[in-house]
Amino acid sequence: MKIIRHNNSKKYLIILFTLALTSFSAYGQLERSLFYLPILPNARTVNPAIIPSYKLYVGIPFVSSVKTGFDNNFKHEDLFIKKGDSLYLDRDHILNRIDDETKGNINLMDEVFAVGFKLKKNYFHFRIAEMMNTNFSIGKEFFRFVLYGNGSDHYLGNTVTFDKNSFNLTYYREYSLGYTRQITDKLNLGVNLKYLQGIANISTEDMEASLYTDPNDFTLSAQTNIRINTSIPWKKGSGFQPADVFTVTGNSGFAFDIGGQYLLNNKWSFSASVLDLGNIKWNNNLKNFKTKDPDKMVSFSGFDLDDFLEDGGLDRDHINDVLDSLSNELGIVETEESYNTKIPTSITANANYNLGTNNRFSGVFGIQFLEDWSWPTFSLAYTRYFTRDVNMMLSYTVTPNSFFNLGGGFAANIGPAQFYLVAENFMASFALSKAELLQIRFGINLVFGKTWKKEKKKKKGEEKPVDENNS
Amino acid sequence: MNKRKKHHLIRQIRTIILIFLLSTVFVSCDKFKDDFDPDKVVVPDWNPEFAVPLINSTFTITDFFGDSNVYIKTNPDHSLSFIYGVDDLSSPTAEEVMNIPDQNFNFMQQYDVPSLPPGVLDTLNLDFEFPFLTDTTGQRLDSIFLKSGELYIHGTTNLNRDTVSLRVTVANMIDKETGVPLLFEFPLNNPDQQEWVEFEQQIDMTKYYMAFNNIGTTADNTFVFLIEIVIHGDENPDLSPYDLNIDGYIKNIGFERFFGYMGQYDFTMNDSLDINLFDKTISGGIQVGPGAISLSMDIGNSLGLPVMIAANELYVTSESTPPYHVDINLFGAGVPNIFTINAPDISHIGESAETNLNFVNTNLDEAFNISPNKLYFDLIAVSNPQGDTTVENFVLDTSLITLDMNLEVKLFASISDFVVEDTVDFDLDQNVDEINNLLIRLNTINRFPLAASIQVYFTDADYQVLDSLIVQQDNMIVEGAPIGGPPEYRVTDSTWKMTDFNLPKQKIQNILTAEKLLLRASLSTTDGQLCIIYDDYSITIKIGTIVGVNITSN
Repeated sequence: MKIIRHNNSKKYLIILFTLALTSFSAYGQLERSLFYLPILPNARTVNPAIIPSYKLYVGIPFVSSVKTGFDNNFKHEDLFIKKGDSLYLDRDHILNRIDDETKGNINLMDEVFAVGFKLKKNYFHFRIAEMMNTNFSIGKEFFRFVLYGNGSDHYLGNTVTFDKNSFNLTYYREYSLGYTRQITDKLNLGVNLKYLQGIANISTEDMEASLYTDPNDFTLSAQTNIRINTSIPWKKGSGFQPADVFTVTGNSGFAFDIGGQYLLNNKWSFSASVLDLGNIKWNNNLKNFKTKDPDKMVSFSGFDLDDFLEDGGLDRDHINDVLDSLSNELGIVETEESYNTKIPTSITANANYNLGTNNRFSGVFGIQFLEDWSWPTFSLAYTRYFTRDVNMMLSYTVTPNSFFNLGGGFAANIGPAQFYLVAENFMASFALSKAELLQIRFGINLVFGKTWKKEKKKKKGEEKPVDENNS
Repeated sequence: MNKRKKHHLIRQIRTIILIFLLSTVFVSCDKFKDDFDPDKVVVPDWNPEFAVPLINSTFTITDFFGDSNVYIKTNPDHSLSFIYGVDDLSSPTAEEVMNIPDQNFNFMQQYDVPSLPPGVLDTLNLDFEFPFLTDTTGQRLDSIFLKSGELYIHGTTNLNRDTVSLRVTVANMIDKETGVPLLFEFPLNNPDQQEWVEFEQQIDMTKYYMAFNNIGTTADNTFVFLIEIVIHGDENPDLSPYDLNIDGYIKNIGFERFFGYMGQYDFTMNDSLDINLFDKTISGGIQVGPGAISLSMDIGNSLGLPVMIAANELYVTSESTPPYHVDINLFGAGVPNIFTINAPDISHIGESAETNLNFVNTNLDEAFNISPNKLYFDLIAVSNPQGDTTVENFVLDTSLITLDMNLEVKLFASISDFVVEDTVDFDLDQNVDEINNLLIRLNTINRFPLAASIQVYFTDADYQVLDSLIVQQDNMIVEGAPIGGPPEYRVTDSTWKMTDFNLPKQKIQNILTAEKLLLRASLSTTDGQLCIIYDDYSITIKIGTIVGVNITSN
């Protein structure tokens, strides 16, 4: 009976994993779900105090953990109105639906390599991962400006102010060295020290502007307070070259994670962590664009024809010169100055309650601190242990703008191979146009030396005990 | 729950979850395709409109006419005049006008030589002369300083003496440095009793001048050879009379300076002035203010002789306004266009005497009512117009007459429905799919007393009109500034006019297919009033556009 069950599990899991891979392009994953699959050693990335239930685990290079997704405060149906088979783009609908600030977060992570092993009460961990994170915030006025234009009655003769805008795209490589200590039978503490290799960044420090359009002759009067920092390794025209990202970039940073885990009794356990406290200093491939004099009002009322006519025709070279000089007129200068960016820090708190030996209820409160705003989330989950090698979970997540996000996932060990797939807000599959949140993570690990077998021997007579390290 | 039931339950749950996940994947793929298929996005009926200032230029008169052949003069009262001029127009030089013909001469003379015993000398003198030819009637040569010329002399004699010498003095040819007449010496020794003794020589005349008034003859233009034959006595028989034949020529005569009476020659000067002020005119009326048009000539004369200038032709023509041709009277109706000019005296040889003429009684004001495009003139300067041969002339080879002519058009006029038109190639090879509609706004701030109604036609290569820019009735896009009264006729304020041109998609497409741009403007001074243009007048043109962006475009 036991043999038959395992064969079926393998078949189902392989099918599921294949389907997950084929649907990867549509989905993403969020860190919260890693709390809800206790047999995953990757859970250590959301709390360094977690000691996986294996003496050794090795992540399959490049596929041990792949994560992508978005977490926004707008959704598809905020942009389009569906009527029958058609999608209508109505600007008033858009402006009525979006918030004063439209915020978005798109992230992508691929673990290049990971390894962890346990030595008595100590756990050591090392991983390399490619991280890309994009956050943006766009003020509603900017949308209105783009959708209506400064030639509309709304803007002619009025001053429009663009604020509440920011953008931060960071692509970096993380080298993480972790250590966890089982302080007592009930308390674990852990830390990850990270060296960050910055590869590319575009970020705004200041992004404010005002524009007045004269209603009679359309003279534009602008005032800007802009500082945009960029560090982009691939040069214009040469395209992307692998060497641009796989060599030493000269942009370095450090960060760390700390966490603690406390087992109150057989039913209750708690954990908390602070992740990614650190920053990157960008020194190479720099270009900064900043307003020289933010108090200066610049007006442009048109080109002087005299400057552009040469030999009876338009002097196109001069036109290009003037277009270049227009940015100078606006007082936006280009520099090459080093700058720092923080990586998004997050704090999470987790509580778990074991109902019997096969059921667990969990809750996670997390908050991520982005450049200009913070992003709290709360989720509840139910985890079912079908066997000690198979976890399945369902979750419910609340974000500031989205209150109904159902997630699901599984993790299973088939011999030393471990497969997992977690998706948050899988309801988006049925109503993608309503989704503000969509995250997916999947991967394959190799795990050795399952510690619960040892525990089982110790606690002979108990049926399927919950692993103490992840409980 | 027994073990079998429990296992059955687990399998059921697992199956349900699998079906759920499979459904999720398939449904999500299909949903994604539905929700993000760009082909399903319906073209909206709105377009964002962006206002952009394009042109902001201020033009003065100089900007409109600065590159043309006109000189814009600011008068002391800051009014403006257009000066159309001809500078340094030159007549042919005296050397080009006056030709000294080649001269040929031929003399034959018999002479007797008595028998002379050895040791005795005898000298025989003979004179020859010929009239020096000129190319005009009545010309009198006093002296001509040569810069080129060849004199060739050749002769034969049958004198049968052992020792004889021949000296030929060319009395008119004087060495410029020494002042000594040209002398040829030929030996005519004939010890062998040859039948003929021959002699010849050719010289370059550059170092000589020809003098005709110091050789004792009374006849004008006489060229004289003085012959001296020196014979030594010998035993040879006397075969007198003997023959002496002399011939030769003078050719390629070029002069540096001429003194005498030159006679009458024509020095012609003709040219035309382009009056571009009316180049593009196709119709309309202009009434210039009194005294607005004037003509002046600065004439230089380096010919040392009296000169009279006659205007063989002097008229203006118009391509647009009848009668298309008006003759100009410099001194009023019925008075011939003839006048004399100054000449240098002998103390200013080589210099030019200036004559400055301002013609104040012309009919140019009237002539300009036809909006002329050109002024033609054909002037003839006649030397010694009175034909007085006693007058002493001097002329250098480079002597000539020069002319600077200025036609000054003071911008003092009234115009009414003055239509100008121009055609320019138009090739707007641009993809404007992104543009749904276009509004072009023209603001003019005008300080000129000129109002303009403008239309722009877009045509194909055969000038077939495809579309026009302005469809509204009011195409008076520039309003003239109000004009004050005499005598200044100055504008009192500027005017502002804002005009919108709407270009829907179809009109933009028509414009894109056009190959020619036909610009037609009807100009009038404000209320048809007389006005003067001053140097502080300007017009500011601001062109802005509101572009309706076609957001469905790729």
